Amino acid sequence: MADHESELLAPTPGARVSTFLKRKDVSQTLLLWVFFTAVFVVLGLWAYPKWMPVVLSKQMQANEDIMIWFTVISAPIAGVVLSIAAKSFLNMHRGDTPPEDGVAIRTNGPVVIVWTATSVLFCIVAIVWGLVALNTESIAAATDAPKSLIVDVTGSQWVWSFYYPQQNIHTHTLNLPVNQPVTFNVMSADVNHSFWPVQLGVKIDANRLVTTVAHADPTATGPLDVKCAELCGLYHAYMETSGAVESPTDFNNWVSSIQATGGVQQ
Amino acid sequence: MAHDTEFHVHHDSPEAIGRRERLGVRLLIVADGAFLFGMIFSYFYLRNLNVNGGWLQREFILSALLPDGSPHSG
Amino acid sequence: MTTLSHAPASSRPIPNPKKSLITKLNMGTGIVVGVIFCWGTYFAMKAGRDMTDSHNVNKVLLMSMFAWSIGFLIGIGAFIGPFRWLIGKDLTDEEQLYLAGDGQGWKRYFKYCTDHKVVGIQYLVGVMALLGVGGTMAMMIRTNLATPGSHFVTPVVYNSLVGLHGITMIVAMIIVATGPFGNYIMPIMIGAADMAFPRLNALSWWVLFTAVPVLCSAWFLGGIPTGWTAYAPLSDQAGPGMNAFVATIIIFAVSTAVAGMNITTTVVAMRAKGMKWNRVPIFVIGATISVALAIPAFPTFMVAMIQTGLDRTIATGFYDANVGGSGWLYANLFWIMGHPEVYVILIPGVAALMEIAPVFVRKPLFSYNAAIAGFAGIAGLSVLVWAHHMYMAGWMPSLNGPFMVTTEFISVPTGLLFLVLIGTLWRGRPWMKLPMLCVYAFIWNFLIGGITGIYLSDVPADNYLHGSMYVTAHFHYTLMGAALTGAIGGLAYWFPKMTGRMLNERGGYISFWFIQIGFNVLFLGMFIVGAEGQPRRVADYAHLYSHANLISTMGAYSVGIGMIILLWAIVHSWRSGKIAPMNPWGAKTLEWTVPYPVPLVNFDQPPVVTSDPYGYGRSAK
Repeated sequence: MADHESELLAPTPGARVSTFLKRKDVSQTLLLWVFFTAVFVVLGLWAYPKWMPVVLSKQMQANEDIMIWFTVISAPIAGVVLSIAAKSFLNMHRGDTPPEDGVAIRTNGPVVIVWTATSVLFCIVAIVWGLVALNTESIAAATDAPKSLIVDVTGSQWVWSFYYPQQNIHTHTLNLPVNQPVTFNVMSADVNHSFWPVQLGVKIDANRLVTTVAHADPTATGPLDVKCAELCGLYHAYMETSGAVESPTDFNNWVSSIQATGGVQQ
Repeated sequence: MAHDTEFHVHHDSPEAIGRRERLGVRLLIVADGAFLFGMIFSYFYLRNLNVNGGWLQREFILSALLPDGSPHSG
Repeated sequence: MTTLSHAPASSRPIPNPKKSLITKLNMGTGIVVGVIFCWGTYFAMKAGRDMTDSHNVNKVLLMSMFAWSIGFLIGIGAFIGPFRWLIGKDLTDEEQLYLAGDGQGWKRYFKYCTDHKVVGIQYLVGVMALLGVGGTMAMMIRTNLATPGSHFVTPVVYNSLVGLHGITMIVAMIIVATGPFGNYIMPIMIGAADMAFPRLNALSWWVLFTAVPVLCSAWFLGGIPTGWTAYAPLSDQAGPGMNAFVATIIIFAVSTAVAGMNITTTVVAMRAKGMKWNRVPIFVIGATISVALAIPAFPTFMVAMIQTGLDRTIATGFYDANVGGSGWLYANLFWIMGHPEVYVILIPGVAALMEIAPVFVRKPLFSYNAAIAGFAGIAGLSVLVWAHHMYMAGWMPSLNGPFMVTTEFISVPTGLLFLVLIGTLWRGRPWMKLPMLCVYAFIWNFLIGGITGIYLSDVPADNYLHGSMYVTAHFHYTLMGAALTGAIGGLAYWFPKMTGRMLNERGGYISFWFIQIGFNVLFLGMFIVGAEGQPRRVADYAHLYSHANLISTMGAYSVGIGMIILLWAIVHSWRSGKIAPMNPWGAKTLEWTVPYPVPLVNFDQPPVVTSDPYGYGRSAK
């Protein structure tokens, strides 16, 4: 009881905190917290950029940033949960009878309040980040509209076809000039498809008799994969095509070569 | 209800049974209400979307009253 | 009034109402009548119809399937009570006792038995069968995806596997905890003699039973081309197998509504004396909130499916854009159900683990009120988030922001669930048994599932992630890693009370590690290929994704092995496991105060409750 009394006599919150931290289970949990937080930080900063495809547009960059930074921000919270669980796991009792009862903690008001407040805070951070990104995107789409390259995208079972109304060419690959915004008007000839130019980081469903719109700002050159992201029947897995984001010169050459063959890509 | 001499089954009081049954029926009414909501939602949503001009437009009826008699199609 | 339970079983008169039809009816007669109705409807409707017209094929098949279900229910005697009411009578006391299965041994499991304990076991076996079928399909899916360019199955079969695996598992997961434990254990836990509506209890099980052959018939009718979400207009276009899906859902929705209403009424109206709301075990609260959420949710799914059925039979055009319909209507109706439904799946599993943790850590449940706030908050918010499944649908981009807000906010009550569990673990010494292991697995799995859900709920990130394998990994972490793990923990925990025997420990541990390690390998690999850009529901994929897919498949086989070992452990223990004492875990809830076999009316005397069941622990300090 001596320790107990000296705790009671400790006058300052600071002293109480340091006594708390010196407790063996707390310090071990803290070490585990550092470990798990580090794992998630590495996951965010190293693994996601490694797995996610080449960034060819502002939108893809924004997506990658969200994956990286949401992982890093959630790392300490994940760390708290996992460290407490791991510490408990390492403290296990084996045997045919239960261990003696633990401490009768029914609740802890401040802990519940701090926990709830922290999760609300993270929630608000995530919401604000998302809303700002959404808003930026819709403003950009609106201001870019006059100077956008327009591509009409049609999904049909099971091919993608593209029509560039400004150049009057029909194609089956998606080539785009770098540094020029592009507006996709997407429609389906039959069932729902989902237009997904992967490296551009945009996606929009293709619906019958309704046009949906997506907007992208390509910022780097490179090959482009276009996939279908909505199960559309038998050959959904093969409903893919390719393309590229290329320099304006290369793009214009590509357009001219198609116009020379009657406006339809061979 | 028959009252067998051997097989006494404990029956709760009529009030308790009544309370229980009223609650159960009210829950089923909630389910039915959700069903009805689904149908009403379908109607108003499709009417509002008016895909492919598939639902009559109000302008169609009004414009039929124009002097030149040329209705606009949906 | 004397109740029979006071008399020892050997001296109790066995009910056998000789003149009553109910003694002759069972699953066998149900199947006979069901088949007769089915074939009768099929041939009657086929006559005079042009069966090359797909609308006619759909009409005939759908009606035959419903006829099977209704015929089966007639044949097993489900409607005898209502029929008697029509003529101003009801079942006699002797008939009611007969229906409760008194004195019938194993046969009562194959009859229309109103004893909630029998219904619980029926659900347990049914769930295991569904998991087995769905799991086999999953093994076939992963085998096909082991290498790119594999033709283990054709694309037609693959797409059907994906859709049917999905719906089989969703049905299985909806009932995996509330079916066996909500029925068997819950009434005992609240000190009741049975459920509020015992005959409806039997009905909900047998209605579900009739849905299973209907679902399986999809395979013989050409499969389905859609996922389990059965999006329109692909579902309108689909072949005859789609009718099996439509009929299954409509039948299943009836079962769910009835079961939901029964469980909710039981908990509200039949708790033992002294069991105030703040003394109700958390599993009961969780199960009740879950089924109460299901009551308004599933009817909208039913409407969505009825409209699909109407499109397919009489060309109504609800989802046909050519005539003013829209696939978006389907998506909205579906997800208004679909999102609450995933919490219907999740909450009972978590609640079971919250019931388990205090027992094995010998500490009170941390912040019972936070647990309730968590469940209630999740249930309440879940009806406001559905369109996050449709961010990329283009249906109303202006609503993406508001749905993002509501969806992100669900992480707050969800976080409370974590707090309750880790608060219970804190400063405790856990007794390492299989139920407790499941708590740890849950924490790891649900953490990953929850955090990845936060990414998906963010609209810009969802631009990339929607429709990719990342989504598949996320929902398997939550539905399987969290909810199924909770159900397995619940089974290990309540096995002694449901079977009278202890679950084989070594088999349990070995299966646990095969399942959990395999599960994580399987779905972490899937997060990787999703992040790399592999779409979901694809029979084949680019070479870029081959390594991670192969590793995923190996994880899947480990899960399969683990499940088989678990099945062996369950069957072996049920037949010849160690006889369990009345309260092997030293738990404090009411079900551990009754012996096995549990008496027909559960308690000799109705219990009186004076405290909540979490009174563990020595005083602090």
